[in-house]
Amino acid sequence: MARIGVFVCHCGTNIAGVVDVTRVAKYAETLPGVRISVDYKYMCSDPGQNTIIDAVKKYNLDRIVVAACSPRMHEGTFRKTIERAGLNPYLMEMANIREHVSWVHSDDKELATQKAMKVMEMAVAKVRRSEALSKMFASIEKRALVIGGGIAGIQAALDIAGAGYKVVLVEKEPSIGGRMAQLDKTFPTLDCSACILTPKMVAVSQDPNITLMTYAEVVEVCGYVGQFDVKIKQKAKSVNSKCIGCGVCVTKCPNRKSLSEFNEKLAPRKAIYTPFPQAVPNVPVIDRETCTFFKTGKCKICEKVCPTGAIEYTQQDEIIKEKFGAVVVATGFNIYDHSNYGEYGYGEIKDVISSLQFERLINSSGPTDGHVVRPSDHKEVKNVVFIQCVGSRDESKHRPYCSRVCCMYTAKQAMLLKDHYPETQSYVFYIDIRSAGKNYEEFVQKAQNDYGVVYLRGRVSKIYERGDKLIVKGADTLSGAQVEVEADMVVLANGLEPKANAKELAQLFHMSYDQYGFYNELHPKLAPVETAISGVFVAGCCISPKDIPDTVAQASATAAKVCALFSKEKLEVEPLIANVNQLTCSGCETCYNVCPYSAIEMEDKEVRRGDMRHVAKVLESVCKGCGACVGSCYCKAVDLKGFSDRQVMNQIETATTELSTND
Amino acid sequence: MDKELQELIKKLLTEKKAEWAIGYEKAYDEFSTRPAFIIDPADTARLIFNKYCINNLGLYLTKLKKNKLAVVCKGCDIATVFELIREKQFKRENVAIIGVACEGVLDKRTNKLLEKCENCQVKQPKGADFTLGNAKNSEKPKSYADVVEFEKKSSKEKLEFWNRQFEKCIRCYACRNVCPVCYCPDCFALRSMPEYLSKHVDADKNKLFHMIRMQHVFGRCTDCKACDTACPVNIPLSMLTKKLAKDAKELFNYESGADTDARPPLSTYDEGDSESDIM
Repeated sequence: MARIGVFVCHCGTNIAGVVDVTRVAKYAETLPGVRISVDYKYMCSDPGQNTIIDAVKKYNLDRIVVAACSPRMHEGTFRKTIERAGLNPYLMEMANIREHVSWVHSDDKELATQKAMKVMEMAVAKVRRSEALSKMFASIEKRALVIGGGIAGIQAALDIAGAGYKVVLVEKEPSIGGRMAQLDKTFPTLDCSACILTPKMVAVSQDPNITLMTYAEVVEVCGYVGQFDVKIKQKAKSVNSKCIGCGVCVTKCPNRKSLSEFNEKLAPRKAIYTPFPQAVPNVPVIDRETCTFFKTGKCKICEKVCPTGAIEYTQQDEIIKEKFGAVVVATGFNIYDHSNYGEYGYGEIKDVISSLQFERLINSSGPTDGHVVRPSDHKEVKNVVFIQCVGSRDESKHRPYCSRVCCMYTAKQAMLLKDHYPETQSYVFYIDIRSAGKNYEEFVQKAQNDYGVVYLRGRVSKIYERGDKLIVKGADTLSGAQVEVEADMVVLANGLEPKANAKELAQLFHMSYDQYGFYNELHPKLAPVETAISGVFVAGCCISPKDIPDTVAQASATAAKVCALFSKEKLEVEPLIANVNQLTCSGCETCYNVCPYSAIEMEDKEVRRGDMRHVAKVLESVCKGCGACVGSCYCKAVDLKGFSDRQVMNQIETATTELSTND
Repeated sequence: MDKELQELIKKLLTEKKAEWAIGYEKAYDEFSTRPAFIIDPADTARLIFNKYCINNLGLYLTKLKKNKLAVVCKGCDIATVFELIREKQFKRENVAIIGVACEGVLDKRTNKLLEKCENCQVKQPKGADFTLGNAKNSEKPKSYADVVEFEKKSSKEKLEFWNRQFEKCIRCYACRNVCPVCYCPDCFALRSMPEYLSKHVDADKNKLFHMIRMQHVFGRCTDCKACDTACPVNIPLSMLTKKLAKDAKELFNYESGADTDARPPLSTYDEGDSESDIM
């Protein structure tokens, strides 16, 4: 007979405020096998844990049930406790009477207490069939994969490489740099974005520990922390390693049919191109969708002019298989597409531009060499209206969140405009100004006081063209007046949203994401760069909109996490994995097919003397214990350690019987 | 056709293309046949094929799978063989499928054509290694009218109907034993650690047994009706198996035994999968 101890936690008033914990503890004593049952204010506190340890010794307990919070919260804590008491840590079960009971049934204390008793009783039923399990260790492949070559990915890669570990940095575009490379100046210091970014980009290309893979995408992920098997698709660049980056091919290419993604479609680009002059690597790619040769079979001018023979039309997409111990996902953001806004002209009025387009216009290496001119007629501007919260804080567009950076970059853009053209006048329509950050509020004040930017608190109801002017109609809610501004150009402060394919990438890693596609952190406060998938970390705007300093801080945080992981010789892994009873296995391969981690192997084995069979086997170091195989096996040959059918059936049986209470 | 069949199997056995041949032979009366297991070419004279050859011989393949086999199959039985190959129970090259043209088989209890033989699409076998005889497939598609009719009943009526049926069940496991895809080395129904299912014979437990069995064979059952014919208390199990076939087809566009490389619906996930309940 098992000797079980039950420990019921009050969790202050979290549980005890709803559940009659004394009754739960008393009820536990009536259950077969329970030797001692105690309730205590905070089981997880030092005295609480000592109560457990003392009880184990005094009553010679061999199994423990802690009725408290979610196992996600304190399972680890109590496993360690009973290990200190000399028991196997897996002979402990948690009954969740907080999240599953007190927090959700605060309106009916009697029923809540009864449910708590039942939940506790089920844990007792389960622990009765628990078996001692021994810890397992797995090796760690000490190489990191960083996905996304923006400032977050660059910083993470540099920091990990700086600690002496190998890094592969994968970027979808032909160059690293990301969104930051598109910006002109950065708030609140107004230092030039490219000037502070380019040295880091170069450092990436020169770091011997970093392998840079641009124009590449992650297509398949298997494995688990310490051992991720990742397939990366290297798209055909059509330019090989002989390229010296002279740029003759780009200059001579006659095809200007596509619009530059880097310049936010404000200027054409060639079919063979580098996104921008400081690109790293400085190797052009051929866009096969538009290239004349790939479409018609004729042209080949780039091949003719190339001095090193680097053009290679026959290159094919290549799938590269790599092994990594940890992954940093830093895929960044897109800006909200303002063509969803009818009041701003559905994106069809040429002189209503996005914030990123403004960045390119005012940038001296941009398509207009830094002249802020109207896209429609290339005339210089006099009056410019900035509109805040486009695709942010707008329930009707399903973007209720604040994008955090728009208030700041709008102030910056208005100031830059004044710097370049002192005779211009800027107007900003805003909801509130959100400028929390070091020197941020001062920065916005400076825009208003020193740069004469007119801030109008209210929304714009309509923009329309009159002659060559744009009429912006809106409300100034502070004066209560309707206002009409005659503008030459309107700049929208587009909000930030996840990359279009953020969800697909998350699915590759089994990461969770919110309704917009932003990745979920493991804990929003205490684990802000970890994800629910161990070994996968996130940084930057793929989690939520944020500015450059926060992004860089997060990137370095992920690097610290990766380095901490790599500093271990072996990784301790949970022994809660599947196990095949080969005697009852029929060899149908169903489990082999459903396993998401490829942790099942089929083997031909003599399971009994003279009984050669085709049977399944679990690769212990690969199995994550998800239980898909257990559910799929109709022969009931697979079982999950720590969640065995015997344990679960016991629980179900208990759940379906009445409370045997006579108190 | 019997002569041809005997000659063919004699040839396969003599040429060592098969170690065992599974066919039909005459049983105790003219309405009865039984499986015949032949290893000696001289015994092939026992083999026959007629309209009483109701058994699905695919059942015996998993039991003899370590040998090279030849098996006599009606068109419908071939689906079973293919399904078992899909489930990796044996290799295709180790089974010689002898397809026999069939105009339908009779239930000797009623001397009526089995319900599944109406509108049969495989009177002329497809996918066999050897085909004997000629038959014309039905022009009409398989009809699910009876299932559709039953589906119209209210949940209460359905429950009452099945409760009545399962009250009759004596848990003899004949349905399981004749089922070609019920080959688990150790059936859940007989386990005791843990006891997945109480061994008590009562309507509730019986119902649970049948429901679990149906769930286990969903996407694998080829609707061969062996369980239905074997049931000593006439529980219309074929209504359940037919419903399984209909659901697999309608919800997942899947047909058991059609493709030896397919993945059955319950062990795959696709974003477009039907979300509706199966039973």
